[in-house]
Amino acid sequence: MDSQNRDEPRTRQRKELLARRMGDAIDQLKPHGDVECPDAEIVAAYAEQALEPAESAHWEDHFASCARCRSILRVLAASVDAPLAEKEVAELGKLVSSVSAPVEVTGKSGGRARPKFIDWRMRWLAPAFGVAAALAVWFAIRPPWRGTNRGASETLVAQAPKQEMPTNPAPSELDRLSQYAPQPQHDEKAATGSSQERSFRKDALSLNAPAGTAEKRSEDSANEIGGIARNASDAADSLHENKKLSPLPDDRETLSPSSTPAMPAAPPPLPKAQAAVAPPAVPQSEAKAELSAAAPEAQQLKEKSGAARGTPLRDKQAATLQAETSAITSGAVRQLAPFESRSNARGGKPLFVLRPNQKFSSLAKSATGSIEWRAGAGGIIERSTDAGTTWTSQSSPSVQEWLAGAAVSGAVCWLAGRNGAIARTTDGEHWQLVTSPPLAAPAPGRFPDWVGVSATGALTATVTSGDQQRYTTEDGGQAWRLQP
Amino acid sequence: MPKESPLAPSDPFLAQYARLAGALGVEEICARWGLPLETFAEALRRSAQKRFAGAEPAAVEMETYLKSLHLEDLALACACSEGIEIAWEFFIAHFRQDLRHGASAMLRGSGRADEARAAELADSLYAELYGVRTGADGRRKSLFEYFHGRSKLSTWLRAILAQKQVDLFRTSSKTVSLEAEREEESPRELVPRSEGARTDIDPDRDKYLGRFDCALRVALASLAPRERMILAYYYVDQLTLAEIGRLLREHESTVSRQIERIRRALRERVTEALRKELPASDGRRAEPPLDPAQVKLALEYAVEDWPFDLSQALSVAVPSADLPDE
Repeated sequence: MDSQNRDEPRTRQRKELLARRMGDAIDQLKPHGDVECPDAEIVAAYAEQALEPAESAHWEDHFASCARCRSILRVLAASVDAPLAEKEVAELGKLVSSVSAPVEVTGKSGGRARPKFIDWRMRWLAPAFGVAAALAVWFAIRPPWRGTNRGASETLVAQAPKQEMPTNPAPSELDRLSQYAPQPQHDEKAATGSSQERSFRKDALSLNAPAGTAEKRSEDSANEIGGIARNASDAADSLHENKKLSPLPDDRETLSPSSTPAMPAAPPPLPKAQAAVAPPAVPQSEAKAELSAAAPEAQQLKEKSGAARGTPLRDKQAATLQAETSAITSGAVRQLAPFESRSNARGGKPLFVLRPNQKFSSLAKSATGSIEWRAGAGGIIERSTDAGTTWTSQSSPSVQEWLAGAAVSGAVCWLAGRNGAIARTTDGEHWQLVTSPPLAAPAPGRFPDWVGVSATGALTATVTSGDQQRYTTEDGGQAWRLQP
Repeated sequence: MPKESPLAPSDPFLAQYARLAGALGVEEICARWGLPLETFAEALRRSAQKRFAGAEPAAVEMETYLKSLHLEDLALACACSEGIEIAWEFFIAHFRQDLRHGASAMLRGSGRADEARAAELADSLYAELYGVRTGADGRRKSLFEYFHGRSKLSTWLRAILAQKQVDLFRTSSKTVSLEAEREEESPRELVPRSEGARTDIDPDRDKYLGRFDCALRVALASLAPRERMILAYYYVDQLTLAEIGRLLREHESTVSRQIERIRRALRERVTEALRKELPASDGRRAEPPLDPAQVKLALEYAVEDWPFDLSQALSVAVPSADLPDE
């Protein structure tokens, strides 16, 4: 499936190239037989689609092979959409202004002249309308907190986010929780929660309240902000304590009601327990040893998480902590593959694993020697067009190690490798996987390592397995034949 | 009730014209310019003669044709051709700006937009329209005589301008680049394998390219003329889908779908032709059909490097021997 996805853009590109080549060839055409180019009337009638179908087809046959006629049609089509020149725009403007010019009132005309003061009003009416429309739109969509004379509304314009708090936990839940930390009294907790609710609601209502004194409103807002700040600082403290993070900035202590609540510090480094799991290449036995060393710390974390419970924000943190500790204690360690990258548990920057040094197992040179390929572990393929001075990496259709190669020419080359991997290029740049001989598989899906390959063309090649069995194809890998 | 024309139907065509004249309001149109009815009748007959190439059409066909004509423009052209002053005044007043706009747009497309040039190009037509040459009968030969009413007069005038502009451009480009002219004189042919060329290539490459050559000729010949024209617009003239759509009066999405359909059909027909036996013709022996792997390889080689000569492929009829069996 991956190889198909990789081939898809190339297939599309090839289709485009093929069609483009055809167009280049069409350019070499001579006019059809002895048919002369049509006169201007036929061209004009064709452009207006006024010709009958048979006539149109006849002339289209000519147009297909006559660059001159196609050019004429193009130029004709372009001439239809001619925009007005500046001079013409100016002339049009004069025309418009002359139409709206005041008519001189004379006795003979009998017509009624437009008074000048009407003109004056008309001249300013359009901009006035524009300003009025803009004001109307602004008043309609202005933010509600800028309103001064709004009546009391039952609809909350700004509603505080809901706080998840178990106001009445089930008795079983209480028992479980009590194992970890003493729970606050229900009524105290409810009071705390409801007071927070009331404070938020009050804040929301204040936005819609009738216009009281500005000072009272600002004082109320300041008190609410101070309350929020205190909650945030409490949450930050608990987080710090439970995670043994680096101290928060001191300015946290100096939060004043007038200042906005400070956000927590930058993401701290990983706790030690998690850091033990980070290195990807650690053997499993060592990882398990570290896990067992981390276990007591995990237990401590668990206890702390329990202690953190009691407030809505702390509940969430405790849940996160519990998930992390369970991941540690469950031994969920996985050795990374060489090309994998992982991110830390906090979703920060991924820790990329350096690839080991690649060794090339196979070197294939073309007959002229100027073009070479080298391939090796991890499916790497590189090509040189200057006899090995410089190398360019090529997209490989497999991650299996290449063990052997055979270059028929500067464009055709075959590679063979582990687990039945066979690949071929016919343009020197793009590689396709070739189906391995089914008969060579000792078990379904298990193919031998191909340690040798020889080829005489793009379609004909012979691969050799480690046990010296040789298979030959003459159709580019569609069918293979075991050699005696 | 249609008014009867005062013309005496001395021949079948005029008789037919007499029947239609009232319905089409020809008398009023001619009276507007002071154009004699006989002159206008002659213009109508010339138009029908050109359309039907001397053949005798059926009466219904003739009526349909005459009704499709732009009679007012034809009458104006006739009047101008006769040198009637009011017609010329009307023509100058209503068509001069249109001509200049068209000329300006044409020059803009060629990168030589200039008001003076546009006016010069547009005004250059007036002399020919008026008639600077005289015929064998000593009569002025006006370009208006070549207008037969099948299109609007404005479109016809712009078509003339377009022809002049294109021919001028082609002539000037030929005189500028002699090297380009030499290249045009010698069409591209299959590049012969010579010393110093690529030697490290598949030995069957030429065979595959030759088969592809034949298959593509067959496939292109099977396309409809309009399809070949669209391909030419897109790949030869390098027009955008919007430009092609404007030419064909279709939406660019329609053009895009058409091109995709044509390309798909071409590929299918080429593949089909490659899979069939190529019969012997013109001293070439018959060749066996290609298997799927070989077809794929032939397409790959055609994409990679294709020194291909398709001269007259779209215009020369393909011998029936080369056409694949249905």
